Amino acid sequence: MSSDGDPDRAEISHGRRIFFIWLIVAGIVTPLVALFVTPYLPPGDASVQANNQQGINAILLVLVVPIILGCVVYVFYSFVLFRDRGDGRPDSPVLRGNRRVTVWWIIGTCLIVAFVVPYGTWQWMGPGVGSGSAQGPKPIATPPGETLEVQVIGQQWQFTYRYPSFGGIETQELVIPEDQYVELHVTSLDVNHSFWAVGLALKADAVNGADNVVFVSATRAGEFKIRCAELCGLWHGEMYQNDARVVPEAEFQTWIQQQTELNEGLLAYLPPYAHIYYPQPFYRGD
Amino acid sequence: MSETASLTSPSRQPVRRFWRFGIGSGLLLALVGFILGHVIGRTISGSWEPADGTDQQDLALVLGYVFGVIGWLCGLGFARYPIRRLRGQEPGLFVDDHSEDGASRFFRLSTDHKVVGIQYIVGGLTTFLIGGLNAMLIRYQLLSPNGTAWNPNEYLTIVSLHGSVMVMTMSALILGGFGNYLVPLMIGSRRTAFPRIQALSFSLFISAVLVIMTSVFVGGIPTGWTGYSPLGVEARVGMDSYYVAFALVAMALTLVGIDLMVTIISLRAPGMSWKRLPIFVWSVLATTVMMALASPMLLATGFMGLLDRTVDTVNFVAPLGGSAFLYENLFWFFGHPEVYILAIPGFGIILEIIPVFTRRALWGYGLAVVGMLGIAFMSFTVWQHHLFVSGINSDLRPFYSLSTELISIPTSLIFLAAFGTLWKGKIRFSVPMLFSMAFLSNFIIGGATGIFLSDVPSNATTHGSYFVTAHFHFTMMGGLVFAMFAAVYYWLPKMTGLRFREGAAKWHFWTLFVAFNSTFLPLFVLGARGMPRRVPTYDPTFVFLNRWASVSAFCIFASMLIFIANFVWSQFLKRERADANPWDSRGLEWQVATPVPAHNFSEIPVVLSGPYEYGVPGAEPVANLTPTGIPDPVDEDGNPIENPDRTPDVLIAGGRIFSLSVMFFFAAFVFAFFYLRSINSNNLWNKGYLGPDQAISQAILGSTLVGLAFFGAAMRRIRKDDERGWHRLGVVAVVMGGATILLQIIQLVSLGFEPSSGGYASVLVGWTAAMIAVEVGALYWLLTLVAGQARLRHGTHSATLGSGGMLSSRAHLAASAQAYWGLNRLLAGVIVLAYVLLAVIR
Ligand code: HEM
Ligand SMILES: [Cu+2]
Ligand SMILES: [Cu+2]
Repeated sequence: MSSDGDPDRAEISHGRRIFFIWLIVAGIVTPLVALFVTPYLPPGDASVQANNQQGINAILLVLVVPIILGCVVYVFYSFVLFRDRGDGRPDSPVLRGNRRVTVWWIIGTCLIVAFVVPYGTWQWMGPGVGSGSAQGPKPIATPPGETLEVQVIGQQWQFTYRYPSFGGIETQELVIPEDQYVELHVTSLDVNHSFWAVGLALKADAVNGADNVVFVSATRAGEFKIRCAELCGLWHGEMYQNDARVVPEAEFQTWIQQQTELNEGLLAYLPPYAHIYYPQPFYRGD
Repeated sequence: MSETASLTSPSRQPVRRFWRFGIGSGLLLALVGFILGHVIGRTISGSWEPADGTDQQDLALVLGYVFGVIGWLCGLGFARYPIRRLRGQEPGLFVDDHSEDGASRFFRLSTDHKVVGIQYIVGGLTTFLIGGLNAMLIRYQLLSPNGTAWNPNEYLTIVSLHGSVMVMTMSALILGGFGNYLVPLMIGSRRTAFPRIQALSFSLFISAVLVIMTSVFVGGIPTGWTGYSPLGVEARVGMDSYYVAFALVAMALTLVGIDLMVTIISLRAPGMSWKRLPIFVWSVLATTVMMALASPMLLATGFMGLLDRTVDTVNFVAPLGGSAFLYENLFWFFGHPEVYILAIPGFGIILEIIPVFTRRALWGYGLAVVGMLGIAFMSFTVWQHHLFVSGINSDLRPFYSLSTELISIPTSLIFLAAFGTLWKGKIRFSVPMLFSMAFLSNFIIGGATGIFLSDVPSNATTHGSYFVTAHFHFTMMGGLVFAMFAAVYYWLPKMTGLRFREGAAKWHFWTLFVAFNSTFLPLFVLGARGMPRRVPTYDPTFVFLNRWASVSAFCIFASMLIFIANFVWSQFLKRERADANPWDSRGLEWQVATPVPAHNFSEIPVVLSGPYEYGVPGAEPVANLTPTGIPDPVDEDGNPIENPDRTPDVLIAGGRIFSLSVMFFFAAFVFAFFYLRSINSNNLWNKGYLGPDQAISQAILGSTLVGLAFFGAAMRRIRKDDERGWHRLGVVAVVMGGATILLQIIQLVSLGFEPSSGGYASVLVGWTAAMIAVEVGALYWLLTLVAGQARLRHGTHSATLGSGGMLSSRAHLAASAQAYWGLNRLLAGVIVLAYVLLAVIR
């Protein structure tokens, strides 16, 4: 390489070259990612929470891509150019560290941390209203105004739903009205499950003996997949009988009316509505 | 050799003719032990109802495993040491150690760190292959969205086995294999601090893998490697093997951690200052901190899980007074340090290798050290980032998010050190270097995707999905496994004295690199789009990427076949001698002959300069291997006699660290106490049950404190060399120790194993049982002190003691007593705490 004569100049030129390669690669790839990938990032825009998560995922991706590229460019550059070319000098010039580089490196990492953590925290505490991540029994990020409470009950191997403001009826299907804040209380009758409404961007562990709240406001009507995201035994993979449905308010009223009628005979057999249920111990030897 | 081998104990000779300790006898006694344990378990639990729908009893199986493992250890010859100790004899070494050179020494108990290292490496590569085959079975099922190759139970069992075996293997293989083999060589020692413990850890590790594999015969493991309860409590008896195996591995890791930590602290050669310590040794040191402190938590957790399953305590059963969150917290308090146990040695390996092939001092050595230690300590502060959507402590998520992100700072220092070393270097791209470079580019992807997982909103997208699977494979497979292969290609020529075929190794590298990325990159997409982890079937729209990943995974396997072929070819079939220092490294381990002589160094070397002074004009050689020119004296067995002054340091350091491990073990029970007490209403906490007889509790407290006082007095006599006085006091301490244990057993039995009497009873049972177990161990230690001292007084002690490295029995006993004294005080503290919490506060 040209480096041998004047180590100082060589240092500058390698550094510049790596920087420019990175600038070009990252300069091309990052905008492409920003333009053509981020709009399609999960979880989409079907709810306020999904939108929020998608925005943050997009920002993180745009942040992370140049970092990864920087690392990969450096590794490949040294793979191609920092080679022993058998010029008879067996060892590399001695370098033991560089205070300036170190300081800037640490500052750079700190800046990333100082951005990522407060930003994410502010998002879920503020505009994201929990950002679809469950908040335990006493949520601190709450939506303004009225919410519709719905309970999600996990058990091996299905989710069922109860609507306390409609007499505590139980349904097999999650139906929620559009453009209204719904307060989902997630719990389990047996082992741990995790309620994952993929398109609506909700995730909340369902744990026996615990109440776990997550808020959602759907922005458009449609059907959305529901999965279980915590291993819960044999048929964990099959825990998605019904999709969630988001419907306009009027349709929701008719639906809940039907369900109430269907539930009439059943209601007597259901335990009174509560945030936690302890069924008879499933315990062995008892 | 072998005739003169056991001068110190001629009585052993005839026995050995009939009975040779080894794998054969180990397996035999394991079987006998298993049957015995099973029968005992059946007898005890005969009247209890069996597990659902089967005729199996958890207790029978668990005791079968426990006795089986004990049989296995006895069969390998581990019982000889404690028996000799209890009779007051000096330990004596396993005579076979250095008197045989054949392959058979690898199949037997050995206290040679090099033999144990090879055992770990070969054993670990074998279990790695088993885990890899499981991965192929997983990917085979996922070729189609409704895969029917395995039914759900089989599939989940395969996933659990893959995860568990891989985690166990990769945590044991690097430190147990490369750590045990290389650390003594790198720091200029002939051995690790506790050679028998080092041997024991390997046997425990192997038995753990064997135990977990047997789960396929008894119903499988449905929980994945995390073993979450209540699913884990509810599962069929196969689950017992999970808890037993993880308990065994926890013990193995703790022991490895203690042994290597003390080795590095106490056994460095003269001149091996902290500033000259090779970076790999630093990484081992950082890792041992996590091993010695976090693994005992896992042991306690496994123990609680087993109690829930066998005697129906309710630690993890919410409706009866336990909590699923308790398990999650305990598991991840171990689990997160564990994932760094799987990362830091990788950093150490690549930072050790990169300077050699760049021909340059490690850039930013101090930064790398700070980075590793920083990661190790910070890893204890982040565990609840696994529980962001669980609903527990949701208000603390900003803290855990921050602490997690902060770890990226020390981690970035490691990258900086690597990059700085590469800078304008004259790099030779030999195979180990290729793997190290790939480590950097793979690990950055694993690390960068961690940013998503540690961010609360993005975590809601990715948690519990294949995104996580992809993320940790980039760190563990793309990171540690690549580092492991770097280490294999780099150091095996030293260990076996044989060269690998370079061409085949390069093929292995490139195919693995491409296939690995091609397998796991698509999984990020699958996870983010909604494919949960641990599912045998999936949404048909995901079929293309899954097929892609499966086919690529098969290519990984093909790539591994190249490695296996290369391994067999170059190590067995077509052997080519390697040079003593083929890479032209300055590492101390490369300065000794190849293969490494039996005792590493004929004299303890004097280290003269750091290990990375490449191209430094006028740099001194790394060490003077023959500082006096006179080989150290040897004993009758040909084992060099070590400097006796070190023995007290080693024992006392070991005792301290062991006490810390014990403290973390009991911390799990203290945490369980406060946690279950705080979340349960009074009624569920104790259901009106107010614990054992107060008189018994007070008696336990009393006998403990009296025993402590007597041993304290004994310590004073030891310091004054008053042997007769110390003996009498020691005997009283033994009696009080025995009385404490007896009283605790009475306490436990008087509880009557009443199931479902709330969280309080569960903590009480668990804590008391754990205390009995630890105290029995402590009592054994005390007995060896008393017995050894009695022998000493009657003058039947031999003066020298083989390469166990101990001289001067009196100094040895005093140091041992000193170390015991520390543990004794700690245990007394635990008992006082138990009294205050369990009998007073309740
Ligand atoms: C040979 C290449 C490998 C392949 C193709 C592979 C494939 C997989 C797949 C597909 C899963 C997900 C199973 C599921 O969630 O349904 C998985 C899980 C896992 N793998 Fe690997 N793996 C490989 C190597 C490794 C290595 C080297 C390690 C560790 C050092 C490892 C550790 C794990 C762990 C801990 C799990 C989680 C198991 C669980 O969910 O409980 N794997 N692997
Ligand atoms: Cu599930
Ligand atoms: Cu973690």
